[in-house]
Parts: sequence; structure tokens; C-alpha cells
Amino acid sequence: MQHIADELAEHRFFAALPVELTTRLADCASNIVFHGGQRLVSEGGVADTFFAIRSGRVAVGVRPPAGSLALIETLHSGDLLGWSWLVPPHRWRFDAVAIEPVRAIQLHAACVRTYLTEHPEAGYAVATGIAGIMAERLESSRLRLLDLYGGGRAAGI
Amino acid sequence: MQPASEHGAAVAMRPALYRVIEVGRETADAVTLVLQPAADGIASALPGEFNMLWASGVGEVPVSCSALSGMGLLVHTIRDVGRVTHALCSLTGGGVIGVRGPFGRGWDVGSARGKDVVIIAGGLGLAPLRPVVHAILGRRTDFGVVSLVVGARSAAELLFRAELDSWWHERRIAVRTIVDRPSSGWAGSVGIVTNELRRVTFDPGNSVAMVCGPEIMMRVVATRLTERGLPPTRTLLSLERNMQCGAGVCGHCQLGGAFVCVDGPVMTWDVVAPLLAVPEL
Repeated sequence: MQHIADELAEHRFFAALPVELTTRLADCASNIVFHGGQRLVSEGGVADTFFAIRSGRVAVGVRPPAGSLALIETLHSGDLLGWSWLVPPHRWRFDAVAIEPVRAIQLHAACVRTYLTEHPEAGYAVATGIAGIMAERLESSRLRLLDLYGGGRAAGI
Repeated sequence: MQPASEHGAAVAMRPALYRVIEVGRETADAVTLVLQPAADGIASALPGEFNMLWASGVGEVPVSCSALSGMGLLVHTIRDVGRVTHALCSLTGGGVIGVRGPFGRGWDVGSARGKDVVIIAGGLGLAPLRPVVHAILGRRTDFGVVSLVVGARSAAELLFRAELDSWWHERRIAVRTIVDRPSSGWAGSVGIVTNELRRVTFDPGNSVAMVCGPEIMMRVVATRLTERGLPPTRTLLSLERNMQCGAGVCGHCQLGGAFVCVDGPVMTWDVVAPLLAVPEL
């Protein structure tokens, strides 16, 4: 049976971190499984965890009042779900629902935050990684605002 | 048969007449025309090269071949976005148009032999890349891991949907599709092509990327590929500019010191990156 520290180290996000840090963060981690249709996080709820997705797909979106989920992005194996746990007031800024059965490593935010606060170098490494994900999603949002495929290329060159 | 572009600009200025023998609707605003020469045809194109399609009395536009036929037929996929493309998209079987070409420098598929190949298409950008996929599938064992990432605004705007499905089911290449605006029936990925690209694995030391789509998409994709270690000299992009003569004479498609109609449309990122960084060039 594979140890959770090894599973974490294989995940794309954590693979970029120092091994000793990943090993330490594994103390804050546990495996979790969601069935298709199950909600992982709800906008406004306490962001007391985040997820390293190992398999399956998750729909991330915003739920308008009395409306169904407006799907913004799908996250897959190797993606990290959740940055709200790092940013005060630690409330989820979006909804996330499993599209199909999802296996993930759940990291308990209070445990991770405590360790990162006590070890600023580790905190910087993780915060930089999370900032990278946020930058990527910000860029995606900006490109989508441009209606990326709508204009420009016209006649098939 | 008229000579190809490298044999002389003067002859390439005279269109050959082609008859529409098949019209396939790809999306709400894009069609694929299959053209047969009415008399002498033009030379065969290579993947990524383009022809100038002339709608009589309306005008002429550059369009890449979306498939290559060994029987003298031409296959072009066109989106209806203006006067000329509207005239071309309105053609029915038996309609006649003029064709000049082939022009330009296309995808160097041969240079990808023995390497992993990452093909990234956005919107109508899949049309010029489709002959590359056909060429690779025709000699599949010559290449390493081949990944195709296709992005579109919505599922209804994905080109060659049946063929994409068939490539996906055959699993001879890894096909990933992603749409920006999912409809209720869409079960695939949601986001933009760069989201999907990060899930593609390739060996940066032995890979070639071929990218075609809106310029802003290509810029972001090429930047991401460079960040992942792929040399800009092995990142190929197909540029869209105002091609008119097709022979590097009129200057309409000039981009810095290059004429896209003869030096492109396919160029490498090391050449293109500094040019795309110049405002309004």
C-alpha cells in the first residue's frame, strides 16, 4: 500500500515542492473519494480544506441565486482545487462538484496554515505555487473575456 | 498544370477554375468545400500551405488546405466572416471559383519524425492542422507520442467533430478537446486550450509543437511551451495576415522584415515572438 506522502509527492503541484516539505504536509493529508454529482465545496462556506485531485474530474463554477452551477472550468487529475483556504477570511469563493467519481488527497487547512506560519520558507514555497495557479486562472479568465476563438482567424489560414 | 509558388510569381497570378463538387457544413458559420479542376488544376499543396480562393466579382481570400487529396481535388474549410468568405460559404455544388497557389511555407512534418508532437488548435485553426494529423496517422510509427489539443468557443463550434471522435476512439494519438462555453450536453473539459495543454506530457528535449489559432492564443500557448522547456525553434505557428498577391510582391502581409505569404504562414516562435511583441505591427 502506497504511503500518502508518496502519493502527494507524485501530484503535479507537490512534485514541484521540496521533498521534506511534502513529507511534512502529508501529516495534514488524508485520502478522500467523492461520487459523481457530490459537492466538494460551496461558495461562502468555510475553506477549511483543499484538494489534490488524483483521478476524476471536478466542475468549478459559480451558482447564481436560485440558479444552477455556471461552469467556469473543469479540473482533472494533477490539478489542485482550492486557494480560498490561504486567503483570509478563508471562505470558499466558488462552488465545486464532482462530475464523475473523484479520488483526491484532502489537506486540512488549519494544519497546513499552522505549519507554514511556523516555517516561513515553506510558507513562501507553497504560497508561490498557489499564486502560480491563481495567475494561470486569472490569465484564462482574461483570455475568455476576449472571446478567444470568436474573432481573428477567419478564413482558415 | 500550373507551377507551384516557387516556380514563379507571374504564373501564380492567374487563377485556375475549379468547380465545387461537395459542400459540407462544419458549424453554423463554417463550411468545407471540395473543389475539382474545371480544366488544368494547380500543383498539390503541402500541409500548411494556402491557396487564394477567388469568388468572381467579389474578391479573393487566402485559405489553407484542410485536407490534401492525391486526386487533384482541393479541400478548403472557410468561416463566413466577410464579403468574400460569405460568397464562398454560399456556394453550392456546381459553383465555380478561381484558385491560385499553392503559396507559402507550411508545417515541416518531416522534421517531427522521431519526436513527440504536440498539436494545438483553436477555433478554425484546426483546419490547417488537419493535414498534419492525416500525415502523422499515415506514418504513425515514425513519430513518438502525438497529442492533439483542440479548443473552441462551444461544442457546436468544434470543427470536424466526427473525425475528432474517431481519432479519440482509435487512440493512435491523444486527443483532448476543451470548450470555453459548455452547453448542457457537453461532458468534456471546460476552459481554454492552455488549461488543457498543462495536462499534456511531452519530452521538451525531443518534441515539436505545431500551433494554429487566434494570435493571442498562439502567443500564450507558445510562451507556455517555452516555459516547459520546448525550444522556440521547435514551436511552429501559422500566422494569419492580409495576404493578397501570395508572392511577396505587394507587401500587404509584411510582418517586420518578413512577408507572411512567402516566409510563412508557418514560422517558428523564435522568429515570431519579437514581432508579435511590437504594438500594432
